[in-house]
Amino acid sequence: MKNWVKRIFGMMVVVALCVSLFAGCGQEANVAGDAQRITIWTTASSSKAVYDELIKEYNEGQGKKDGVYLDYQVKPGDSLKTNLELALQTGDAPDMFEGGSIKKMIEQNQVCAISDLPGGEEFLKYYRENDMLANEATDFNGKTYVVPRSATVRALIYNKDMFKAAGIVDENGEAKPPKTYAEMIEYAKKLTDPAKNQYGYILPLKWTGWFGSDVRNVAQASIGHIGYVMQEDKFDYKGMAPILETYTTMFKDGSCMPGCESIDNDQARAYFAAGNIGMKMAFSFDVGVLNDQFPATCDWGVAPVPVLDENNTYYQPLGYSYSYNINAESAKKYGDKIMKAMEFFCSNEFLADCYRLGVTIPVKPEVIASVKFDDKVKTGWMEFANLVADSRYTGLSPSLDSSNLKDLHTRFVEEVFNGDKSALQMLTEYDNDVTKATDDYYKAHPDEDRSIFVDKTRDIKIK
Amino acid sequence: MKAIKIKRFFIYVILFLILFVTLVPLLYTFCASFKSNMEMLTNPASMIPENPTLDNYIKVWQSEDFNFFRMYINSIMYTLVSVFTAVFISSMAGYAFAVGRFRFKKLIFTAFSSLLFIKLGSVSIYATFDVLNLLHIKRSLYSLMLIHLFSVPVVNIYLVRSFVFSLPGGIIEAAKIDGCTFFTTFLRVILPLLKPVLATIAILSFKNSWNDYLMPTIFTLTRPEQRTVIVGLLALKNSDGAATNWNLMLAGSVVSMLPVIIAYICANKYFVNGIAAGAVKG
Repeated sequence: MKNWVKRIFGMMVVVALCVSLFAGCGQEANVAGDAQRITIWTTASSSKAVYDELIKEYNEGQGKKDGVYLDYQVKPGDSLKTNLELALQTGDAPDMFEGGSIKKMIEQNQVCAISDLPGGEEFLKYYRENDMLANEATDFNGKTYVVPRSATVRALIYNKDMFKAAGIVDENGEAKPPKTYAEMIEYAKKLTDPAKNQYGYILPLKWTGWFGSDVRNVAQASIGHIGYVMQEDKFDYKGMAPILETYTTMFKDGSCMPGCESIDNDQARAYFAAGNIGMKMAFSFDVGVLNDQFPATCDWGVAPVPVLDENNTYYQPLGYSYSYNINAESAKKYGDKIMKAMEFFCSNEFLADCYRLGVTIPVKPEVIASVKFDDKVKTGWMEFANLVADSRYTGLSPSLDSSNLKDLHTRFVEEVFNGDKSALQMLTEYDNDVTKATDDYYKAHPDEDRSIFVDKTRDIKIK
Repeated sequence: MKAIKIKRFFIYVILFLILFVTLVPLLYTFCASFKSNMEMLTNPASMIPENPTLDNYIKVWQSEDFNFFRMYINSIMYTLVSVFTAVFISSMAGYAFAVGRFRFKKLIFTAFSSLLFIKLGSVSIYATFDVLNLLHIKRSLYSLMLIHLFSVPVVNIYLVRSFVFSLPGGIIEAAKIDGCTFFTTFLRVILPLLKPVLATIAILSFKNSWNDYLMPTIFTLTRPEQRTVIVGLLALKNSDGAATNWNLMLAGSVVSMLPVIIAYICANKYFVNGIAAGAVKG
């Protein structure tokens, strides 16, 4: 290469380096201006687009009056826990975040209670008056660290086109989803046509959360609990055996899409959206997936999760999402600004906007009632929202020592799906193992009170 | 003659297989970047998209999580500093360990050599952070570059040391006779002769630094504007919606690969000469 070309190239590299080094300075401060930057870490990628818009409006409007600039960052769910631990250890953690073990963080003084923030007690009044706080969920050691913000409901989503084509319709000619697991097996068989690459059901067994999502969680509607029986302080996973047998029956009679072991939840959603699958269990946040990420090519509907016995049913399962944990170090420096951020994320206006735009269902009934939907509402959103009234919180179970406990999903795949054991055998063994793991935990932690999880008055049966 | 032809045939078959295995993933990435996420998951085996779309590229270009130019500058800066450090330290340290005479030379070299067999990896991260805290330096891509300035590229030191051993001893003696000190001998006599091996070290360091993911991710956790291209690519996966955005990641990968491929096409003879010269002594 000629010398002058080499020299010019070298100069360009040096200039580029120097300019970019200067570019590294001062960017952070300029965006926030005089406002206090509050960094939030979350894994909620399903609501990112909507949150970004609403937060941008806040930063440009009310945020300036509050002296707060919200820096909302979505992190991958699989690495958030590790990243958070590292960040907390090294003093580089965000001001507000979700994830991590809150009990561990409280022990290490890494998180701050809401009641310790300026205005925190006033903020918590609504939640206390409406009995929305619970030990080991929001409250620890007598203080409130998080509050419930939104609810997630479960449902069975079904392909109306496939149902109509298979003749599974009601008297009005509308697709008729199954009400029981027995009907589910029957309909899945009718909907299956391998020649058209259409199957009644899909089992995403590569997804390690499948058992918790599609068996344990939905079991509440059939057996009144999700493994831990609060009224009796005991475990009873055996009751889920018929639900597991439904899935194995559908697999054996060819009603499930082949290749279950290599299908994860994203693929399952994609196949459903492509119109290949008759039925699938889903969460309310799957509405965003089936409208935006994988726009469904079929007409689909939402139905309550099936039950084992129509004459003996319980409320549908409902989970809560909570407000962000508060970094204790940040709270010491600018707790008042963090309180403003907390108030924004839990405000009726914000929650109403999120509900209207089809991303989250608020826990406050008055917010749900205040929202009027237009025709731009996402397909399936209203149906999921209507299920809230028939759903109840699944509750918590006692802590356990999981170090030697093989999880249910792995047991199902290795022992039941392969035919080595029956569902009842596997679940009976798990009942014994989880009981022991729980007993061991409380023996090792005698200062912790197991009885806070017991609720003898809990009654979620549908009369 | 026939035997030579058969031999050549088998050589070409093996070369073709290697070419196939190398090129097919790149080709798949390029073709799949025009598929929608749904098509990618429901029809992964097909190379050619059924309904090709440019939406992925438009989304990547408009994505706040993937500021292409900023990430490229971050990657170039980080890579150049790493390459410069590797070349600078290994050339001088390799020469010193080959020719220098100083106390505890063997002990120090043995200590450095032991690092070849111990991969500390992520174990040293907390210790590194403690040192940065002591010096009141915040975590950022710039502090990671600072850490690299104090790194010990053991393998590269070995390469240079071996190369210096292979040089005729008379060169150094002649330089001494001409009045050169230890350092000027290195600067004026040895360094020009080290060009081939330093080119090799530069190329290997470039490849490692450009593709480095773990440390840049950890150091830019709270500074997304300082992410390198590789870190930014993986952030694209979860940038939009509950499902993983493989389509955006593949489109981002193509956009990231293009400048490197263009640079390689323009300068490939220098890369090849550098690697070949490093493999052949003298």
